[in-house]
Amino acid sequence: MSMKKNRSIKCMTVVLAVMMGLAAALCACGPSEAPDAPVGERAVLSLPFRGTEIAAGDAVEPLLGALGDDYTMQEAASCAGIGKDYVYTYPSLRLYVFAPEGGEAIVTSVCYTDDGAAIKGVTIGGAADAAVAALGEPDEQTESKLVYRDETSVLTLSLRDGIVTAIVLSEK
Amino acid sequence: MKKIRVIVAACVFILLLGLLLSLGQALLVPHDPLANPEAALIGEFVDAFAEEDVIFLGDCEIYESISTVTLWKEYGINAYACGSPQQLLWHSYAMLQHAFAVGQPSVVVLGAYALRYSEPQNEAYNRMALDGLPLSRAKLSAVSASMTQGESLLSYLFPLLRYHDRWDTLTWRDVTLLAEPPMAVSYQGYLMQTGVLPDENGRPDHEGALPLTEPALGERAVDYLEKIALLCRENGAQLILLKAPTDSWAYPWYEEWEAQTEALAARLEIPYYNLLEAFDEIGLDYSADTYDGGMHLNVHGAEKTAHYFGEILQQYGAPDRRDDGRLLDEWKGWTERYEHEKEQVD
Repeated sequence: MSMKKNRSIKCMTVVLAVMMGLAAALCACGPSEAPDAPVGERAVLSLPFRGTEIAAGDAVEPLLGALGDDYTMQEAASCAGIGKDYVYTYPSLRLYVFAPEGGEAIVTSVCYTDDGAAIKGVTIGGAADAAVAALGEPDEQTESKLVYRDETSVLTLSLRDGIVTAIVLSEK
Repeated sequence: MKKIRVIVAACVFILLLGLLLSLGQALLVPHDPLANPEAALIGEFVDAFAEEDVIFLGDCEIYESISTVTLWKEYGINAYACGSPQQLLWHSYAMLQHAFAVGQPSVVVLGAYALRYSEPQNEAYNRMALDGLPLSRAKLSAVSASMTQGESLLSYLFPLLRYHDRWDTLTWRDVTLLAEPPMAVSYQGYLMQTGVLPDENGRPDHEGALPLTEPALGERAVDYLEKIALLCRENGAQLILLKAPTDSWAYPWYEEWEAQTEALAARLEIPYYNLLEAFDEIGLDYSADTYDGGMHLNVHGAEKTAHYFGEILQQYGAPDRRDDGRLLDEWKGWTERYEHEKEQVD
C-alpha cells in the first residue's frame, strides 16, 4: 500500500471519527437528561395534616382527595408559560404547587399557617426548645431558624425570640 | 496532485457537514416567536441594541412594567428593556457586557427582584436568557454560573445537542420561518400585555405567599450587583436599582428584602427606587392596570409607570432625542405598531 493511500485512509478515518463523535454526542445529550431529572424517592421529611403525611414532591391530586375540598385556590401562570403555580389554602395549612406545562402538578412547599396544625406536637407559637426536644437536633440552628434536611427537601422552623413563627417544608 | 484532491474533498465534506449541522440547529432550536414571545426577547435585543441611551435589565418586572414607547413619546428617551423571564444577575451582567461592547448607554436600570436568588433556578429560564447571546467570554461565564443539575456547557455552545430530539415535533411552520424576516415581538424590549384581570385586593400585597425562611438576599446576586456597579463605573454609566410596583403571593417582595436592598444600595452608592412606595403617585389601579390579578402590569399600568419613571431618568441625564430625525423615524414605526396592537384589544 502506498504512503499516499495510507494518508488518504487516515484522513477519512479522522473525518469519520468526527462524525461518529458528533453522532454520539447527539445521542448522549438531550432534554430527557437535562431539565427534568427523575424524581427521587419519597422525601423522609413530611408535615402531617388531617391524618395525611405531606411531602415536597407529592402529586397534588391524591392529596386534595385525602385532605378534603374545604380549600381556596389561587393560580398564577409562570413567566413564559412554562407552567402554573397554585396555592391551596386550608384552615391552618397552605399547599404550594407547580404544574409544568403538560406535566403532573406536584407540591413544592407546604406550611402551617396557625397553631391548628402540628408536627409531633410542635406548632406555630410553640417554644424553640420544645421543638428541638420533639423533632431532634436540627442540621442547622441559628437564632432565627431550625433547619432539618433530607435528600430532597428542607424543613424550616422560623424563630423569633425563641418562639416558632413559621413551619415550612420545601423542595431543596 | 492526488493529495490535494483528497484535502479538497475532505474540506468540502467538512464544510457540507458544518452547513448541514447549522441548518439542523436553526431548524431544531425553538424559533417561533409567536409560540413563546419571551424566548425571543434576548435575540431581539442582540439584533437591535446599538445606540440607546438607557438600558433596563431584569426579569418580567422589567420587560412588562415600563413602556419604552411611552418613554419615547413623553420624554424622547431612547431606551431598551433587555429583559427575560427570571433573568438572574449573572445573566444581566452578561447582557450589560454585550451592551457596552456594542453601544454606550449612559443610564443602566437594574431590576432588584433578582437579588433574592443565589442559585440558578430553572433550565428553561437559563435558555431564554442565554441562547440568544452571541458567543463571548461574557456568555461562557454566565453559562457557567447558570447551569442547573444535568446541564452541560457544550449544549449552550451547540444548542443542537439540547434540542436534537425535537425533530419529530417539527411543523411546516418551523421550516418556513427560516426563510421569513425576523418578527419583532417587543417594542424595544417592552412586551405588551393588553388583558385586564383585576386584583381583588385592589393594591399590591403578598398575602398568601410562602413564609420567608431565608431572609438573606442571594450572596451570588450581591456579588454580581457589585460587578455590575463596577462595570457601569468603568463605562461612565449611571446605575439605578429599581423595584417594579408589583407584589403578589407568587412573586412576593418581603420587608426583609426591602431593608437589605436599601442598605446594599446605600453601601454601593446606587440610587434605589422602590415603585411600590409610589403606587398611588404613579396612579396605578389594580382593577384596570394588571392582566393577571396583580402579579404583572398590563400596558395601561406600564404606561403610567413609564410616565412616572421617565422624569427620574431625566434627572439622571437621559437625553431627549426627539431632535434626531433618524431616531424619530425609527420610533414612529415602532409607535404605530404599538398603537395598532393596543387598539386591537382596546
